[in-house]
Amino acid sequence: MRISHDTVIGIVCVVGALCIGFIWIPLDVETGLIEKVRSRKEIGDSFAPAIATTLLFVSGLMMLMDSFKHPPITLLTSSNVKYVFMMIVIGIIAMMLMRWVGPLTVMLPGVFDSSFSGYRPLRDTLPWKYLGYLAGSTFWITILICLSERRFRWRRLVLAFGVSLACAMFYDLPFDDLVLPPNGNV
Amino acid sequence: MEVVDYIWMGVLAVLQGPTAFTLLDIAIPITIVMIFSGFLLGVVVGATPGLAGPMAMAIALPILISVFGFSSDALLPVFGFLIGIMKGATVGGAVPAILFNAPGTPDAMLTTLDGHPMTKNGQSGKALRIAHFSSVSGDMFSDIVLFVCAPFLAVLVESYLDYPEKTALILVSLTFIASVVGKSVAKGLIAASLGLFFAYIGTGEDFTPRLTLGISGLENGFPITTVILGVMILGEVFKSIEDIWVESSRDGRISQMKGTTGSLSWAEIRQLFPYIRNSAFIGTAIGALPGIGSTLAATLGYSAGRRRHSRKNQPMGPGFGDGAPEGVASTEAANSSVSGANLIPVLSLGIPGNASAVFLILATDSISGFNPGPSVFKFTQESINPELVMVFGIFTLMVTANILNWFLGRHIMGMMGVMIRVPKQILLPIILLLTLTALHVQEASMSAMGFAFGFGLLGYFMRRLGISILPFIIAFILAGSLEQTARQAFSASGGNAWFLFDSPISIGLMVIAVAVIFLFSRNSHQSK
Repeated sequence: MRISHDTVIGIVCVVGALCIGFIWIPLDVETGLIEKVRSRKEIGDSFAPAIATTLLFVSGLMMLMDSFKHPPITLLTSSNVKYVFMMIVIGIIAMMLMRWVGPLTVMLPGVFDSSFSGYRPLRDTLPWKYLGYLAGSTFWITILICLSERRFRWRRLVLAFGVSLACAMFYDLPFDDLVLPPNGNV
Repeated sequence: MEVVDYIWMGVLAVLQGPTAFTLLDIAIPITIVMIFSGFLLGVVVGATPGLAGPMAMAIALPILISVFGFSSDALLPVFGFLIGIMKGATVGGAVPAILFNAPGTPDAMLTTLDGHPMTKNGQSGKALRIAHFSSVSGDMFSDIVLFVCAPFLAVLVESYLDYPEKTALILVSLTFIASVVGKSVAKGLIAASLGLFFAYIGTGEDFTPRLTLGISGLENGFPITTVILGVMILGEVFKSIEDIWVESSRDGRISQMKGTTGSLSWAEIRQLFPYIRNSAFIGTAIGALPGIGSTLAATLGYSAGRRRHSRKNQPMGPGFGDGAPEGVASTEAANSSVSGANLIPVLSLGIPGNASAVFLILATDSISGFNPGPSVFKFTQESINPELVMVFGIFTLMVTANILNWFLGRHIMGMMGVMIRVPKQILLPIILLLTLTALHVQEASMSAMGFAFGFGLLGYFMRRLGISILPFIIAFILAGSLEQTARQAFSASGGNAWFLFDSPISIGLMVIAVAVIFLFSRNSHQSK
């Protein structure tokens, strides 16, 4: 028997709401639904999440009941899941490149002498501050364009580099106080 | 201080602000320059299929804040730019719809039905003129309704609503948005409950932040821009890239346009006027209700126009769907008249009604000195209420944007046909990069980019599962106010757990909330 995806959404919401309401909220919130502070009753920190969870539970039940009244529908396919997995892998690699290309480059032997104290003092100087951003964003844009077009073209790589450089200059040159990724917290 | 004084001060706040440059010895205020720039960008964005006004607003906001700062002086230039984008994108969306049968924005979908046949008949110039004239007329009508209604609604709310009623009002707004957006009430409520829940992570009044799972990165909660840009912009980018990926084998040739000549005579304007008038009424009424987008307004406006057209039985001209100028007028007047009325709940209640309004609320969240809600409309006699001056400044921005639209919109629209040629597969990754860079620029942290990426995937799944993102976003924005007013109402009622059922008004509002869910659930069953 085929199960409607709407039914799955309903079940996930109901089960999720029960887990949140009976496990997560009691274990991870210090105050209850109603608290007594100096003989006065006040709403505790659990109250609002509990209301949201109750709403999730009720709407999950509504979804379940709705789904039984209609023929089964398919909303997500294996192709969608494959695509999301690709997006996650591409995104993680791109953000890793952004984060680490700068710090790793300056640590390469011969780039700086022994008195060098790491990437942090260089994060506001050219060309170091652009390295990670250009590497990560060029990779990201190139891969996404090539994925859409289902083929790799060198000129897309050049285009992606040009766009990344333009974007870096757009944010960096006119505004002294703006920092490009990853230089905000390295 | 009289009302007229406040209006005049608002006008002067726009016209006598800092000077951008002088032209023929006339000082041009920076706010006017920002409205013009925003409008120009809005038309470009609207005319580019795959882009939308909110995307441009999302990318522009951190830059605007960086340029103008966080002080109250920044409000009018920043709002000027954002309102310019909002209005520009609406008229811009009609350009590719008419010229290439490809709507630039979802609400321009119905414009293709008659606009593109007009182009095929060699009347693209006339179709663009009709779209522009109808759009500006509808927008102006809607703005006038905003100027009149927002203060009255705010004064009414401030006079009659206390904390329990305000809590009930937020609940009504949330249930209304959840019920009317999308095809399923249950899915709308799921989105709203998720939005509320995510907003409560890492917040609260206790010393220990709640629901963090012991993760230190969650102790300050999710930054609002991270959630909104992730779900709204990145989610759309992920979905659109997949659509292109799936359809990449399809032939995507662009049809060539025929002749762009054609003018609009007074007789034709008179003939179109009833259609524009009816659609402007429909669009304004729809726009004033939170959560109902301009697409529905365009649909209802078009349907009303078609009924009138068939009733009047004009045998000489083409019918609706075959290139009727009245079809273009009905659609464009309806979708444009939503934008002004959408600001009624924003300014008078602090409740955003659509995606563009979300970014106006985000701007006020970053800039100090202006908190949208009933209190901004306090007409103080002895001292000046600076927030009220800002409101009239915002009204002036809207009028100025309309004037620019009247005189320049048509010419700018005429130049935008070229935007159809920008390939979507190149544009979308660039939007992804710009959005993430804008986020990092604002939050100065790589983890914000990671959170946004995660919320982007959530936005993707919501879209694929048919769950509307608007209730999620609006619930996330209103979650803090909802909890705060509930806490205050509970304390003020002396710890009465039934504070929402203490006064007739709050009982009435709660009944409306339940009735809305019931009514729309039944309607959605019938429509299925």
